[in-house]
Amino acid sequence: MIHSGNVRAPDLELATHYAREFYGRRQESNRLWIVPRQAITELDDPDLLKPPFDRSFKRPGGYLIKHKLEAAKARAQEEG
Amino acid sequence: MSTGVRSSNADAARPLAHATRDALAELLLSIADDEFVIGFWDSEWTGIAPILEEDVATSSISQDEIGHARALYELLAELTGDDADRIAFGREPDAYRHAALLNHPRTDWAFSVARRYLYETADAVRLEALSRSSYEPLAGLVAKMRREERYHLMHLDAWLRRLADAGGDARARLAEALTRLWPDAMTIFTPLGGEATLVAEGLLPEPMETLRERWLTQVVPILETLSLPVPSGDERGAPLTDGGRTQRTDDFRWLHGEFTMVARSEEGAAW
Amino acid sequence: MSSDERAQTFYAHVMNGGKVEADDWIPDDYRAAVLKFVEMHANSELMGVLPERDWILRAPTLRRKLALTSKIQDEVGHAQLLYRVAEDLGKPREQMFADLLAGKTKFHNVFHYPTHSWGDVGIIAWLVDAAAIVSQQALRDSSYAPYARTMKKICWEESVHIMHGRDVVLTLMNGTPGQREMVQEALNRWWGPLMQMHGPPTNPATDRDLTWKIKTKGNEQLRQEFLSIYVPRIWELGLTVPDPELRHDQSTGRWHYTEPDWDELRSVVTGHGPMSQERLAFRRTNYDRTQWVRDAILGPAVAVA
Repeated sequence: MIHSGNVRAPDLELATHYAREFYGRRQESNRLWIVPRQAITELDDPDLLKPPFDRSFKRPGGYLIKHKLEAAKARAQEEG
Repeated sequence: MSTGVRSSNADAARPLAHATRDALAELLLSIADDEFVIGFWDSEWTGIAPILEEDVATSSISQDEIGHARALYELLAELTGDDADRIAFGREPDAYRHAALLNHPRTDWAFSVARRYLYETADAVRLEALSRSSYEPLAGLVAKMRREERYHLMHLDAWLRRLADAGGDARARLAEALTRLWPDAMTIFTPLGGEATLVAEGLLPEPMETLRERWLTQVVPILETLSLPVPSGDERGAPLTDGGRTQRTDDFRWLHGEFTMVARSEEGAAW
Repeated sequence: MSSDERAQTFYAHVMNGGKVEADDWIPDDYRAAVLKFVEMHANSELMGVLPERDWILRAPTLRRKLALTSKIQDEVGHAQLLYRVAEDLGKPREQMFADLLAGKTKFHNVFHYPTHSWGDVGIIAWLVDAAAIVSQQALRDSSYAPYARTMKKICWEESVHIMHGRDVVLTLMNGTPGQREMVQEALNRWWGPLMQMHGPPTNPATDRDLTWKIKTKGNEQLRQEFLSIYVPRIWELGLTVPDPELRHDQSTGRWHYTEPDWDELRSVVTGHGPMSQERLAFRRTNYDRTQWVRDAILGPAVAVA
């Protein structure tokens, strides 16, 4: 599910119809969720979402094994 | 590699005097060890916290602490020509300088929440002061730490209030934990030997005694509003002894045995 | 449309690659099958925390401590994601915990074995997670869409765990003779459980999970995929796989190996593994000790999107 956009409408029923028009009239959607804005709590604090310390150990880029792998393979070959 | 004190001449970073450097090293070690030890105790909750979602949150907070400890050990390593992992893992238990508040094991959920609440709020006062440090590398590092610590304060405040408001058994456990912890709570502000030097040079903008009083002024009213235990007047004013950062307990010795076990199995090896 | 007709339409839909959402009409048999599958997966993530958890305190460097804590945190997160999928199928979380702790539901074999050294930490993160990811990548095509979606997130996270594990193993292999021996010794103990992990080949005609595309690849296919990718990577480090029959047949493209001990697998997953009871007891104790917290602060369960 990805956020597609928003519509204005007098009520949730019409909002559902309009959501279909804007995000479904070309058969581009299988399913739409329509949620009133006041039901949404937003979190956009960069300290919470992009905290400054290194977190590379949580991502693939944190593990560069090329040289270690070459060294290990070389040693294995040497030992026969 | 700059280890200079920020001065009004932007291009003149004079090296630290010997005594200043030693005093700063002591201060950095004390904060790093605090973050390291509490990070370890709370990492024990990984996998067994009361609620699955909370398990993930608690693990993040303890990882943050280890991350801060790492950065502080690295700063200390630069200052003294050492290695961060060696400082972290290579000392005997008596050479660790964390506050007595952190000698206690995680015990139960109420104890962990209470101890962390006391630690985070005290640390916040300490970090605020150090964000004004004349030692630029420390001020910069502390500014980053404060950004991450905001979430810790929000989260622990949320838990303190929920347990207090739940009443009954939950409130009783929280209150009992606080009562047990108060005697050690203030050890975060144990003055270090080199404090006079650090204060004179602005590396530590205010003495620990002042910071302790500021913390108590902030935290006591909050706990009183929640009808939770606070220290007596005598306890508040009692002078903090050296032992606050040098006495080690069997619980900590056990932890030390755990965290040095693998590192010691092959001396000097890479892991 | 009668209930039978509805069911027929539903089964035709899933057998043709159609997807199912949580609030679709679902026949009881399919619901029960998916729930059982997802519940065992969730249980496995939760119990999978325990073998590695001991090593969080013992990690020998700051970076390894961070990486290992983060990995185990992810496993807890995976358990949460999967229990949520199962909850939406109609079984409350507390009931699933109770059934797990009472031994009524199962968790994967690998999590019933002990760990002995830091070498185990590397081997588990590398090879156990690798065997798991082979299954989980296939499950991204599951007919049950909520499950398929969590698999995408889980696969991404597991790929980082595998890198961490391989990094630990490589560091040890480039280290002292004692460290290399530690890895080989761990591999010797973990190979058997790894080979059993995907389970014995099943009969496609009677395997409903396959027919209904809850899972899209058979057990043997998954094991062959695992061997194809990882055996060369093990051998190139100079490690020995403790199976003299293990070889790749160039002409058929298949790996040959000693038939895994399926009796051991059956015994282990029914709670007779070396650590099965101890780990369940550990979970039970800790769950009981924290019951007061849930009683105090959880209201009636609320699902938040």
